[in-house]
Amino acid sequence: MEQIKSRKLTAIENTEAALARIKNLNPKINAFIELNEKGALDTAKWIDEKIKQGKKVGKLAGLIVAVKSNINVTGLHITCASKTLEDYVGTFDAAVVQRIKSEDGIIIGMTNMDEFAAGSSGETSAWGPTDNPSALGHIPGGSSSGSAAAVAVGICDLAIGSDTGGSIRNPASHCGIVGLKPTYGLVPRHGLIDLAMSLDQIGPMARDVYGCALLLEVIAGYNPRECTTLKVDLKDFTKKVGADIKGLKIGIAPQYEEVTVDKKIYQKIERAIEILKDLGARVVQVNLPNLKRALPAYYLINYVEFFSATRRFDGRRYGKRIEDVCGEEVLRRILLGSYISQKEYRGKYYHKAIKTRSVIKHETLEAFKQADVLISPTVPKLPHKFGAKLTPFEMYGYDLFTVPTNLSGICAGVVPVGKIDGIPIGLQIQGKPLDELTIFKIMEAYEKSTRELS
Amino acid sequence: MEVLIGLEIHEQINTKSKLYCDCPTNYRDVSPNTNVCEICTGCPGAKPMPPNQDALDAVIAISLMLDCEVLTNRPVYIQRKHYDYPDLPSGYQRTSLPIGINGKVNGTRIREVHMEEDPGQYDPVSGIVDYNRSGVPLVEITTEPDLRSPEEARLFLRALYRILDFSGKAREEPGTLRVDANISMAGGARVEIKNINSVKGVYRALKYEITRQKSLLTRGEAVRRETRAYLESQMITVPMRTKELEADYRYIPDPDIFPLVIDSNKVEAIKASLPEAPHMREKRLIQQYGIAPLHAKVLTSELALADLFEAVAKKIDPKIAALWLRDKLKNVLNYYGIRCAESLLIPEHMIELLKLVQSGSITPETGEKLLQRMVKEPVSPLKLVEELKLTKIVEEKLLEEAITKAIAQNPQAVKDYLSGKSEALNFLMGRVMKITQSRADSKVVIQLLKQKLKR
Amino acid sequence: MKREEIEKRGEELIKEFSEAIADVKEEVETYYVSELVNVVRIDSEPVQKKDFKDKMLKIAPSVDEEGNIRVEIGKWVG
Ligand SMILES: [Zn+2]
Repeated sequence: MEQIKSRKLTAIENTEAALARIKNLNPKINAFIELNEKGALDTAKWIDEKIKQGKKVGKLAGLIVAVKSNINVTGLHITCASKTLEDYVGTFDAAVVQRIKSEDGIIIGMTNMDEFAAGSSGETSAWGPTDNPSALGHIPGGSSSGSAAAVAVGICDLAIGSDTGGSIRNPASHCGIVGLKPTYGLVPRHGLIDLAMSLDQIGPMARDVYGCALLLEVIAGYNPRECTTLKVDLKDFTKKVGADIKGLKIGIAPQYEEVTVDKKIYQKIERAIEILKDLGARVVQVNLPNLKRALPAYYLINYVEFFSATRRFDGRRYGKRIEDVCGEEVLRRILLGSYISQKEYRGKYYHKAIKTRSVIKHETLEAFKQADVLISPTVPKLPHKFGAKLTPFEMYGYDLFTVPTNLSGICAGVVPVGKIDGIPIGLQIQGKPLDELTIFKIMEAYEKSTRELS
Repeated sequence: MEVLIGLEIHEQINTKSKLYCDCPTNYRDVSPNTNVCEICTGCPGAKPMPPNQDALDAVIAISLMLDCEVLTNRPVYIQRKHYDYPDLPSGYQRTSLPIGINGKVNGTRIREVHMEEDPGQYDPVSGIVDYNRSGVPLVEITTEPDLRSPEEARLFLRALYRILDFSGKAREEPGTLRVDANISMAGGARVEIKNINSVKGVYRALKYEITRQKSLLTRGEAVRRETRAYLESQMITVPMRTKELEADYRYIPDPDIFPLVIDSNKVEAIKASLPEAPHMREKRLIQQYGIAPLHAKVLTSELALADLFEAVAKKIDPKIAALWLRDKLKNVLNYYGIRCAESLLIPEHMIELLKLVQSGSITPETGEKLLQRMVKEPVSPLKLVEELKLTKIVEEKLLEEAITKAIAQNPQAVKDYLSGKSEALNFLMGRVMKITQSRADSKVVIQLLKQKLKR
Repeated sequence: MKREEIEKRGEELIKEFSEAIADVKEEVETYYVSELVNVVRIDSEPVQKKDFKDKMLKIAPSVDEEGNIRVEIGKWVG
């Protein structure tokens, strides 16, 4: 971006280069499913014009931003990677898209994803799976698969994804990039197509911590036109990320190691913790006995809210009737959501899940009385190869470490900490509600130290 | 056979913008799908705006006017009520948990009062949908099954409607009222009738349904538990074979909207500024203005009429004002089939008109004619009188001419009168009034006619 | 996969899930992550969104010449 502001690189050049890279690489990766070629070039031209005339430009001036296909951009196909919405053209700009546009970000296109964000592998898109550019032949993770892959392969500068139970963090980990799921209510959701409304958050994805913090700075903040954003002072994330992490208390639960399927992953995490200790952080033990209950509670809630959210896809005003055209996992969630929200079953399933959520939330916030952050792997196992058949239960297993964040409404960041057999591993740092800054500080410190090493 | 009837009434609240978005609420004045946005048409990803505070306050005020207890200091969730119907853009209707409970109107118990959003308008015959109405705030009022006949239902609805009108919170246009009726008879199941749009419709639908159920029961057949639609055009009810309408609504608190907690101080404040209830106003009009109880009843049949009366009674003898509003104005309104609230008559013009009549500048008949124009356009009667030269004829010569003309044109009537049929005199007077465009004083005309036609 | 099969397997899934949380003793139900109440707005001058109608009609599967959305005819009146 400095290059653009200092006119070493024009916005047009950056956009054209990105489009060229996309044309070259996208057929292999399948990260984008809709391009905004003309719109992007027009915006770039306009930004260059502003710079030329010495006018003030926005924080994202000239940067190429990819948007997940479940976030509305006027005039583009917002499909959720589903046949249901293959003909739906965005009728409005999501609040975050308005903010990106007003800060002069260039929206280059819509990224691939698991259908309706209901997946953790990137395989369930009606437009075909996205490949993992950092470990070809392996799933990129999901559901923000296209956003993660596009960032990883460098065909965009920044991307936005959404995270309901790990959909930003999981592919960030598998693709080896930085991603953050903000505190519930920090980023407006108007325009984000629902998976589970009480858990969904839009968040930034980037190749480095700075980019991630920059994009969050742009999209975060109170929106009076919706109910669930919080009235908080915006933290100047980018200005403050450099600070040191001496004395920060890192919380680790014994349950983390127990549930990690691939033990090699845990070894990577332990090494990363050692590095953070060297940088001055302190490790404290916390206890999360209900960790394993988060996953079932999460899925039961997800089914019910997703069922409710999909009732509008009746094919009358736009698109097609969802049950007629959707894929297996989406149909499963609708049917199960409908089943467990019935009068006679809701007590046993839905209400029980809602109560379990109270337990998880309480337990997590309790842990934060001892620790500033909680550190764990992002996913308990390595991504599978395309073609492997997983049961729904095995698939859901990827989300074990990520869903407690959403159930508790807190924030969590992922930063790459190396590779196993060529497959990237991400460290998950969960923070207190609205304490994104501490997460950025730790990620930045880690990133800096390893950059110095290499 | 005992009949148990319970009603569920929906009425629109008169806010400027919709309940969960800032689209306008004047859906009748615009072409289809004009007052809409991504929120009220259920576009993917659209989130509701925070609920309209004024709609909530209106529902609290209405609850209080229906003698309900307002539920305070506890979360009132906005629930999603799921069902599949073309007018429902999100596949669920947002409806609040009860805001008021345990009220009473005319001896009928009010079970609950809720705040809801109106769906769009679907015409099942042509299969078209207009979402202009989608998202307009509604108050939903449900009664206990206390009503025993269609007539009781009609009386109850009139009383309820009068209260809603006097609350000043309901939309003033007609046809905004919508009613679902539950009816069960001894030995049969409960049947719900949907889709009734008027008080008359409720009466007819219930009558039809009672006849239908009675004949089933006397034939020894079962009355099934079902939902039926009222077809206004044919005045019958038919089964709605929509599976979804019978089904479980799968209520969940809307995750996009936080619960409302109504503060008891707020309820006290709303109570303190509550408009006068219609039955209280009726009593006061009798006491304060000394008008006949029957007049007071008519004048308080509608808020706008009561307000008009009190404004006019400041300047005009209240008894005369009451008589004019009850008789002459009501006649004109009935003739056009409109309510006082829909007329363009303003108190100043009504006062001017009555002063013209009282001073004898115009005849009462001219006054009534002017009223016909005044309810349709906001025009000063003084100006009209000048423009149309409608002042009372006082010149004897002009009256003479008119009477001579009337006698000459109607020999048969003259003959009848002379042969003893005194009603013929009224006929001749009518002819004179017609010739003079009602500008003649009818009493003077009668006298002159009698003189002219001395038997 | 057939709908019936998804439903059948799904029931096993939720059975497993509900067993995993069956012994939770909690009584408080957390529907919302933030404990906010009374997030409301004051009724204000409405805004008519001039260009929305066109965008909406353009993507609708069927519309009539007046700008209504065309859907199915009510089964009970047909
Ligand atoms: Zn709207």
